Amino acid sequence: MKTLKHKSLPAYILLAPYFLLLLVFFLLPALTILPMSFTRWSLLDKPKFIGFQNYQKLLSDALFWKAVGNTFYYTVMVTALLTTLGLLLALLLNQNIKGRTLGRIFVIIPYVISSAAAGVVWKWMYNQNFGIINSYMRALKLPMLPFLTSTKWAMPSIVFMNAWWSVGFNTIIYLAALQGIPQEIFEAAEVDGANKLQVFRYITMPFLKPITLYVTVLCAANSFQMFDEAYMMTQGGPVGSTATLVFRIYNTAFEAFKFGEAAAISMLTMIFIVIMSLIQFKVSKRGG
Amino acid sequence: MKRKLVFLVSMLVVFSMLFAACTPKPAEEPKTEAPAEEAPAVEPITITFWNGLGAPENVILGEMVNEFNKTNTDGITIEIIELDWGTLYSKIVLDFATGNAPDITTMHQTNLIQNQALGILQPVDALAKEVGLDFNDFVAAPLEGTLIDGEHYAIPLDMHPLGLFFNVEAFEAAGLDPAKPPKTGDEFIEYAKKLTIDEDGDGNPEQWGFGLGYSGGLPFRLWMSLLWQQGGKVLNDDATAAAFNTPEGIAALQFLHDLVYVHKVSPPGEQDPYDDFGRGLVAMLIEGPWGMGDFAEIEGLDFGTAMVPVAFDKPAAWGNSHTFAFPANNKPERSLAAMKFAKWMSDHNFEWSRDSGHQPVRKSVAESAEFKALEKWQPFAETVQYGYYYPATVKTAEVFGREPTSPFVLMMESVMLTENPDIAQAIAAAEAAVNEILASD
Repeated sequence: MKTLKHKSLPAYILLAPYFLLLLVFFLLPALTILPMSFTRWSLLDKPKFIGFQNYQKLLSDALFWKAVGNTFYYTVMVTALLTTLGLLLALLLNQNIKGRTLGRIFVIIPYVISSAAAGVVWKWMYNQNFGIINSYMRALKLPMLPFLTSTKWAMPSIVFMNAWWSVGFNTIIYLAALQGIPQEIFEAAEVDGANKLQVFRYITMPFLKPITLYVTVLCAANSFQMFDEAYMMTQGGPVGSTATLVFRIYNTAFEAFKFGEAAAISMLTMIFIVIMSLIQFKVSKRGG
Repeated sequence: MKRKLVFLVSMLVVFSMLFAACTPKPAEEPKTEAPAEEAPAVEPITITFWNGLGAPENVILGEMVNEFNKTNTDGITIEIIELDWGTLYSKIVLDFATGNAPDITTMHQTNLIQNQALGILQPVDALAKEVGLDFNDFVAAPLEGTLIDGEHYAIPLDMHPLGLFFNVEAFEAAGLDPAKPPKTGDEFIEYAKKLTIDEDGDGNPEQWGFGLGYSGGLPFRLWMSLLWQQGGKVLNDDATAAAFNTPEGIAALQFLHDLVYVHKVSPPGEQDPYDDFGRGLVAMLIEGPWGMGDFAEIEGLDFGTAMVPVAFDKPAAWGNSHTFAFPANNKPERSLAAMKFAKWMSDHNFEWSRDSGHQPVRKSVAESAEFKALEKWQPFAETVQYGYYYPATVKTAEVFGREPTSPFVLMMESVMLTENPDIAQAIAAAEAAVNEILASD
């Protein structure tokens, strides 16, 4: 026992700064959200306890439900796109093909850019009248698209930009997982006469399952909290079509100074994420 | 043994890094010894100043601050912190709550009432008197705008009503006389049509007559200007309810919508009219005088200015005023030093107006021959008398926000982005949203 304690001490000491910072700057503030959500508080006055009023107001607020809808729409699209695209790219880059290293580098490069910078660049590229994408469309005699200026197109445009920006992350994870599959199994399958599809279905897929769970849970939880892209590119517009839950938290807290209501949205957002992750775990367990 | 050593060394590295990060910086070294010798009685003081003005005005302001820092004999150093307006207005509430508010900050006149109501600002009459700033030399409207319950809460810096910017070369190419910019709504549409040029005939003009946009502050400020031109009101007289859902409000929206979809002189879904004017993609723009500095820097852009055309019954244009406000910090010596800086800026009101494009607020400057010689400034100077501000309400930031979740931005977006919008429904939605904000406590 004593030796065990002694051995793990350095680990605890090395982890301590991280946990201390996490506690002070993340965990404790996060815990205050719950009591805050039952108050009316403008930051400069004393918080006033109002029970469930914030929640009641939100549940009957059309703008809140619109934000919920926008958030789910974005999350489902981004998660589906990033998981499939990440897997496809990883499979491709795992082949013994020419230019593989270059391909791997190119896939990860956009992820190195900050999402805010990527947002600004894409905002220019998406410009309806004078952007580079539409000037190509025009040259090709195709209709010019209102990428960020129509309620229908704005969200898909952000999804596409996000896919370009962050697909590299999923690709790298899948690539690592693919390379972790023991080569002998593939060889054995080949000896047994399995075709490529069968190899993928019965060997690659099962091996990738835990990683797929990891990727989808992470991706869904991340995109559920999308903020910077919308903030940089559309500011939640046009007509609120890209205003997500986190965007509403920001607006409510830092523009309207309703910290109680913002805390209530935060709580509801957290509940959504927990439910979503639980479903994902359940589904993946049943599949296994 | 070796392991232990590695462990010890790594611990040392970690802790030394931690300590390096935590060690407080040594107190500022008295490098200012040279001036201290000249005036030994003066104690150096560093003042925090928040600036919400963006490019290019922030550069000019920065230069003036440097000049003040170098020349003042009171040992005052102004330290600028640059913020955009949206951040400034939320950060000041947060930082005031935690005791970190700046000693002095820029603020729009129409935001004073909200920040005063939140208890953030202190009255400035005594401070102004102490440094010898004479309120009698201030233009009436911007000075009165700083009055709350009989006390002044800020020092006006400038005024910025909307005006018409036009591209002189584009005018000449279209056979229009730059000396005769459009004065009425009909003239404006006629000019804009001539300035909309689709050379290759593909239905996408290479040059548009007018840059309007659909989001942010500009479109709804222009809509308000048109509402005011008809004698309409944004809020009722005691600012307790919306008053814009009227035939006048709808007519103003219809006028702007028609520019894009009927007369086809302004690009639909235009994201940045300001940039587009600078690049010559649109030939006319209605903006605040802050455009002047930027546009003058652009090589090959020859622009003229005029008053906002009168599309309805009488001249009216949205405007606002920048001020210096002083958060209540209970540190009189800091507030006094900050006020000395505000006085210096006010005494250099001509330089500020000349370099930033804004309108002066000191009577002596506005009436001076040297200001009247600034030709492009004069249409704005003439507009000042017709300049309308947002009606005063303690909910300024929410009612008149420029964010896409603000009521007026939502209204403009839902009208300007659709070819056949339900204007009555859009204006009713904005009315309901504004009333809800005004009714909430």
